Amino acid sequence: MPGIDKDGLGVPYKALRKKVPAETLPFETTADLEPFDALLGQDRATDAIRLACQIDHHDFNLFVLGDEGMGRHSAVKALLAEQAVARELPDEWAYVNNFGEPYKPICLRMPPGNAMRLKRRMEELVDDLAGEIPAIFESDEYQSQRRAIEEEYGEQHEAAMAEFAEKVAAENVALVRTPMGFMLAAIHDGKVIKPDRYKELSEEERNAIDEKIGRFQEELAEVLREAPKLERMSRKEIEKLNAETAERVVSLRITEIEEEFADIKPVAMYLSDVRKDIIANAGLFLTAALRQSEGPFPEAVRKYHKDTEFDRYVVNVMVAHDGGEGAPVVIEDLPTLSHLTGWIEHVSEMGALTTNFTMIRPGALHRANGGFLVLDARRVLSEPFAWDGLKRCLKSREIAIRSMAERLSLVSTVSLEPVPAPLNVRVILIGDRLLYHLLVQLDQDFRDLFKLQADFETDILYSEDSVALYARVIGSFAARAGVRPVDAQAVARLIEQAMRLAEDAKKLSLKVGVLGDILREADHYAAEAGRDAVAGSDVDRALDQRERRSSRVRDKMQDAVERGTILIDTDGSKTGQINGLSVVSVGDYRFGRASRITARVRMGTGNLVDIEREVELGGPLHSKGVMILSGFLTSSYALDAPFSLHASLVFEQSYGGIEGDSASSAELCAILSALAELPIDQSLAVTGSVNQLGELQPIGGVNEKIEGFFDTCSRRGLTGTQGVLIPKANVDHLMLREDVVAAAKDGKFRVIPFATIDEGIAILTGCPAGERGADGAFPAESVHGKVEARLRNFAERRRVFGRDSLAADERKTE
Amino acid sequence: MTENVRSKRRILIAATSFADARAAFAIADRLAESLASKLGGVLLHDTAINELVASPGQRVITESGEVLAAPSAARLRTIFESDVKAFRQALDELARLRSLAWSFESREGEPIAGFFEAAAEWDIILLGQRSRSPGRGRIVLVAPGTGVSEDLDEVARDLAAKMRADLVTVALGDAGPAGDTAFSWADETELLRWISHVRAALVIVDLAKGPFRTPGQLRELFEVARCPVLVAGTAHANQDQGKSEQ
Repeated sequence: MPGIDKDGLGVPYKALRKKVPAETLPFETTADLEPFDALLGQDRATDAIRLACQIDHHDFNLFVLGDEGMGRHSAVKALLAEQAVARELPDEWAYVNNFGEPYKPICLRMPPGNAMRLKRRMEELVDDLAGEIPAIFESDEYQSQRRAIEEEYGEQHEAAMAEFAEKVAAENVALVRTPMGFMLAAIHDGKVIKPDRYKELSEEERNAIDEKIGRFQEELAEVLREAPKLERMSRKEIEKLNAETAERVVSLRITEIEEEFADIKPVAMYLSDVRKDIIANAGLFLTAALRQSEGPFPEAVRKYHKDTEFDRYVVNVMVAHDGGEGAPVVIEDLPTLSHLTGWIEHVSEMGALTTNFTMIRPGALHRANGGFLVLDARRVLSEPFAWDGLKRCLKSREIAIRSMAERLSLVSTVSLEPVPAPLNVRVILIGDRLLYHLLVQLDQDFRDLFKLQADFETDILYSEDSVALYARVIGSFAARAGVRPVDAQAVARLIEQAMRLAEDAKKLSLKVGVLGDILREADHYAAEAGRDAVAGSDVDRALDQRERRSSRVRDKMQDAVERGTILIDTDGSKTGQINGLSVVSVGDYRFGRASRITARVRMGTGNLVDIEREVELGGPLHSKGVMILSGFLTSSYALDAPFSLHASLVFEQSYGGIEGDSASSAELCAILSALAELPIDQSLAVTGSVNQLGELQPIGGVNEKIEGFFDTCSRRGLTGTQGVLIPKANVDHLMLREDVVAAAKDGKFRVIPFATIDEGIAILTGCPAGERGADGAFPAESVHGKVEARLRNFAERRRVFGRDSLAADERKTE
Repeated sequence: MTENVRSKRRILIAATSFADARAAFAIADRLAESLASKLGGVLLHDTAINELVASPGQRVITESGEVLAAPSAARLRTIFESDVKAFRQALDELARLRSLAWSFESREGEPIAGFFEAAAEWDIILLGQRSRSPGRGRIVLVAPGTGVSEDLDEVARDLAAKMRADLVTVALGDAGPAGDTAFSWADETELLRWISHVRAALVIVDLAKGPFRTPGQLRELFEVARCPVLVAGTAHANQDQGKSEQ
């Protein structure tokens, strides 16, 4: 293109990619470096996490926000572990039977090291009593006392019956036993008077007999009615004897345990209840002893505490910290409602579901009580009722176990209402920024309960110090991941990749997860090559292979361009046609591609039609960019005449939608070309956002866009005239591929920065943009001069057209 | 082993109702563990009661002390037939449990006489009679003047151990045993009066050796015992009865 020396405008090839010279790194391999396990460049987030660990207030829970692959989970885990060690072991928890209200199990709190001990002591107590209680009830002493009681009450009744029998016999009345009870009959001559004989008696005799029989019937009824009363009294006496007998052995054994746990008030109260219950239910132990012959083991080794009837004395340990150190750090990967708050299991018995306190299972909140609970925010929110359950527990500061089925009233069966365990936990949610901001905006509870945020930086500034630290981070990662030491060349390549990921040659990305993946793959190639350390070539191979695996779609598109299926010109010049650039995302892979943008103009009423928008293929940001163009045009040209342009803009062969305003500079250049009727150099592509003043603004994905056009040109053969125009502000972001840099070095490709649309249109058309002179007019041969002339022409023709039309209408009227 | 085989007895459970028989079954079960070679059952319908219930205004006093109108003879027959079925079933179950042969018959007539007739082929009769008194009672072994036979003494001790009951030995005359668990009485009336006042779980008597030998004596003993009575030596008593009848 005559008039403009594009070679002189290009960014020097050295500035196209920032190199990290391996020789400047002060080590051979990372094995020489001190490990660096702290968080790099995350002081702000680290301080927030530390504050969350140290502050006492219950509602200072923490939300850790940042992008995926930032190492948030491992960083949080490491920081919490560091803080947790400094804390004391929290209390332990166990559910035990509530003997008064079995459906409301009691939650026992005890200092660390006691829960399992109490459980074992209770098991031993049951085992011991299962032998000792039957033994004492078998003893001669007990049996004698019991017999004495039974005989005392039994003989009272017998005596009454005997006296009655003697009495009736003395009055010639027989006491006859029948299957239904007793009958009384008069006796005469030693024989019962039969009905025939009775009828023969005089009325007086019959009356005397009837009166006597009636009287004795009442008397016998009284005697017999006494029997149940005596039986009740006998039973009470025996129960009293049983209780006294059981208490002797129970007290002896349970006192030992009470002394051991005397300092723990809830446990002491529970043991007091246990003592009363065992005494009241000594029969359980007698029954168990009766069944002793059923099992394969002799009584001495039989574990009676495993029998279900002794479940009432089980200590169901929720949390124990035997051998633990510091506060617990619990990471719950599957934060369902049950896994968070615990759950109550049921067993099927005769077709019905039953449960008891031994089937209460702890949740993550139980395990983390007194320490830290780390949860993935998105997972908590996606599990039904989990978020609500978590908030409820945090607000009430206690763990109430409620199943989802119970909340939805889906199941109607025997259930429990365990006494909630008091809760003192610091919850750390890890999620992305969008989720955090949505929660802040939409959930008042979240604002109340999660008062701290740890916002992870995505990058740090490039400097000698940061590079040195970055190398140590890589070394530490390699050591943790079991990867070979990484040599200086490979570290340099990884740091360069970190700049590329940051899309900034002056910054290093902190997405260590991605770099870690590359390093591990490079380690594999190093192993294949039999190297002791990961070399730069291994990292290059890993990067190439990653690119290759992901680039199927990109290659297909480039094939289509090469074959002319997608129309892209890379040489020659065309009016109203320009090569725009866009970035396509396929999963986590992004690549650039050229798109033909065309503009057509004619006289009109001031409409700038964005065809993408009309067919709803353009996103709002793209539409905004196009409307800015309209603003630029209307405010730049023929200000004294009506804006009489009708222009249309389109991304040719674009069927998947366009978003963003990075093509607005290209679109403006295409319109200016069409208006000025000046052809645009097709060996160039343009990217950049423009404002209403014609100034260029930086865009994202600059490296991918340049590489996309480079690939298109490269396939057709580099001509030496090809290149990409980018906003000047994007020059610092250049971290191009080595092959692009090499082409630029050889003068076969160039990257041209431009700050204004005037600079850009001049490079593209080879014609100066032009500035208004003292007369307020653009030079006639400048781009702007031609554009303004065209627009004035449109306005004049519109005026003439309007006048002629009006005259024609008047003539018709006449 | 040989001794055990020799000491096996044929045991007959006799009662006038199933409710009374149940008390005997509990004891028979314990006896059957080691002593029984065969089990038998006899349920006797006391015909005298039929006449008694026909008396005008007759009442029956239940165990719980209620005074009810006496049932009709037909009703008594229905109850008896129902008891027969229950008795047979219980006997069958017990015999199966102890792997013993069994037989059953039902009779009518006067109870003690009827039981004696039925007991001709049996070594021991267990007369069923339910107790109305609370708690466990003692086992009363009525010893003859010549002393209790070794076999019967062993049976009594074995039952006392199994039933966790005190064993009391009683006898007539000065020559009888004395002590905390043994008493002697001057005459039969005194002895019966004592038994009448005692809460007994079982009374054991040997008709062959006395002091109670005749059905009349046994009837009296049975009435005052108000609990099951284990009767040994019935064959001898039957012979005596036969002689006296001849």
